Amino acid sequence: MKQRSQTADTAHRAAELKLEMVLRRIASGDQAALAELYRLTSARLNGVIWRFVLNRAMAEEVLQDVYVNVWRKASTFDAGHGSPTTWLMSIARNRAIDRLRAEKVRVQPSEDIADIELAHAGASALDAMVEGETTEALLRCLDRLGPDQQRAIRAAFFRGSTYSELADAENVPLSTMKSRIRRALMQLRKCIEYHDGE
Amino acid sequence: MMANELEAMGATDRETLAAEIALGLVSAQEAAAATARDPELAAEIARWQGRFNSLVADAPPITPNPRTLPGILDLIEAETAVTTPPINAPATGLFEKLAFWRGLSAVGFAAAAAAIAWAVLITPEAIDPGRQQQAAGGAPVVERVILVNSILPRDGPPVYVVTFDQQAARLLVVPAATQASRSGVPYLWLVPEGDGEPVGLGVVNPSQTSRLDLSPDVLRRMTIRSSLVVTLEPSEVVNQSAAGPVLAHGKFIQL
Repeated sequence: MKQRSQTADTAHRAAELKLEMVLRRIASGDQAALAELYRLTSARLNGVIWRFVLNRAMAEEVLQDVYVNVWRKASTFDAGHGSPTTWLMSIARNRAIDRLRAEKVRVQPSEDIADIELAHAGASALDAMVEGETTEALLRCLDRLGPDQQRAIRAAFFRGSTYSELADAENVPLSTMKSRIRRALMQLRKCIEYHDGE
Repeated sequence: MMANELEAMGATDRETLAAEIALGLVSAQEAAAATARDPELAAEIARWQGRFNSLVADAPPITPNPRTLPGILDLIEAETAVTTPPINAPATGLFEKLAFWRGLSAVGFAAAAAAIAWAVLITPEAIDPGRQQQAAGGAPVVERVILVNSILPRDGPPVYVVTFDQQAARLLVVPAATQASRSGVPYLWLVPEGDGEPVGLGVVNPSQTSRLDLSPDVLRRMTIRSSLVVTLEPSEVVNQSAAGPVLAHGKFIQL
């Protein structure tokens, strides 16, 4: 954020504005606009989807679902409630998780979490498509949480795990898991606000 | 999370609730109730979603399969075609009711179960010039013709739109309406023309696109006079024999 140049921020905002305009055209039923959105975002979203699913065929199906959903839901996009990128990535995450759960893809919790951490270990270049401001702060602040808190948040994010699934996986009472995660979320918020100077 | 737990969460501030919703830890119903009570919460949720998306910020772009975009355009065109009936469409009351298609709001399953619409792809003539250029450029193309058909009992809204991709030997089954949850598994069957027994094609997901690969034998029997039926089966293992009630059915029609 503070390290990001003003040029990068301006480019980022311009890109978001463009996506917003394309989404408006899609909402009015413009198929060419959907194709344009696809050209602008599909490689990025596909890369994101690959973080959730584990094979090519599944990723392809999820990507298709994402854009069909965008077509259906474009009119519900509200720029006042977040950026187009956040909206698109949330759809991608939700569709990927739905697909995983439909397939009943279940790995052992330990392997599951190892996969997640392995995936994260490759983190390096921050993607301009994601809000640069929050990226660095979130990752830095997440690292400051306890290992069990980090695990729980990553499992919820990557696998769509519910409180009770997380409690089962960690073999702790539901109430323990709830307070563990809520404490973690509050710590995260405080830390992010400090970093962002919010 | 139960409603009373949410209430008991008085101590949990709304930002933490927004974060829980963004992570999907709170059920969809509870999330909807929370945003109904506090419409400004949506912006907070989006903010947290943006933050959590940082977890995949380093995902490298991966160019998708070139087939994917044509497939998407086929699916949305099939939906659009259902809203704007072709001139020679049968003059049933169905088409007036299809405007709901774009809304895709929750439709009671009983009403939704009444009919099914198909998009059938058979004739290459229907490929538009843009697609033909793509084909000439070597990218695989899904042939398609848009067709609509409904049956049962009268003009209920469609439940699924089925696209027959002959080239890839598969069906794409797109749910047309949100369906109420119910016990059982929707299963698609091909009813061949003549006296043939229904052939099980596979489970169809009521909330997202299903892709069903077709064997050469099924492909041979999938003729313009065959039909498709969705039944509600007690489990995914159907043993090639339909046991459940018919939820929807429709015939292939070539325009």
